[in-house]
Amino acid sequence: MSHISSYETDIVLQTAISEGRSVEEDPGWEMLQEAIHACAEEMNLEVGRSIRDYYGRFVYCDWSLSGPTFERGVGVKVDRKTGKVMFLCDVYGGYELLARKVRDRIVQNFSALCVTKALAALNYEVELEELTDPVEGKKVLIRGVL
Amino acid sequence: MKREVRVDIGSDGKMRVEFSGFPGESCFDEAEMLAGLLKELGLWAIPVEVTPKTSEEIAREIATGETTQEKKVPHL
Repeated sequence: MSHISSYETDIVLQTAISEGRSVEEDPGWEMLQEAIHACAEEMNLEVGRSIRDYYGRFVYCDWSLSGPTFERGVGVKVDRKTGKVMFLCDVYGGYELLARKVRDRIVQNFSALCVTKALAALNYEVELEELTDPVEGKKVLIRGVL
Repeated sequence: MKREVRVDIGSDGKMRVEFSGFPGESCFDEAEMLAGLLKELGLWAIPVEVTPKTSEEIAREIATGETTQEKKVPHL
């Protein structure tokens, strides 16, 4: 029998922490970095280490994405105890939609990297295709054949 | 028949995973193994819906699989 499953996703870098190592050594750390840099390229943003709040104060994080049209930026911070990945942004003043778009794109890119790697580890032949839908935005299709 | 996993990742980060060509209940084992590997990498995939394929869908897959296999037979 075969089936179709739908999943909601969350990013938690817990593998290294559970082995007593630092989260920076987690197998997902580099992939998260790659996903953030890909998002920056796709959305014309720059990667840094801080975001700003409504009052212009700096908030430091592991990565940030900001640009001339989005000076406050979205921050990404990994909890050193739990590995939970958090997205930070002061959305006051109409930044909610843009902040959500940046977060969703990072999660989408990270998911694509993880699925590709996991299927390859299970010996599948993997193909990846990216589509842009005018309504739904970017879609990633990954096909693994055994 | 070849086994295939097709993953669609939407712009909202939600994933739809389709398993084809798996005999018996083995697609559920494969789904669990895939979810375990994803979790190790940091991606927690929380299932919200699981839909077994209908017998018609499976029959269609088997037919497609046979056609593909026929195409691979070399002409001697």
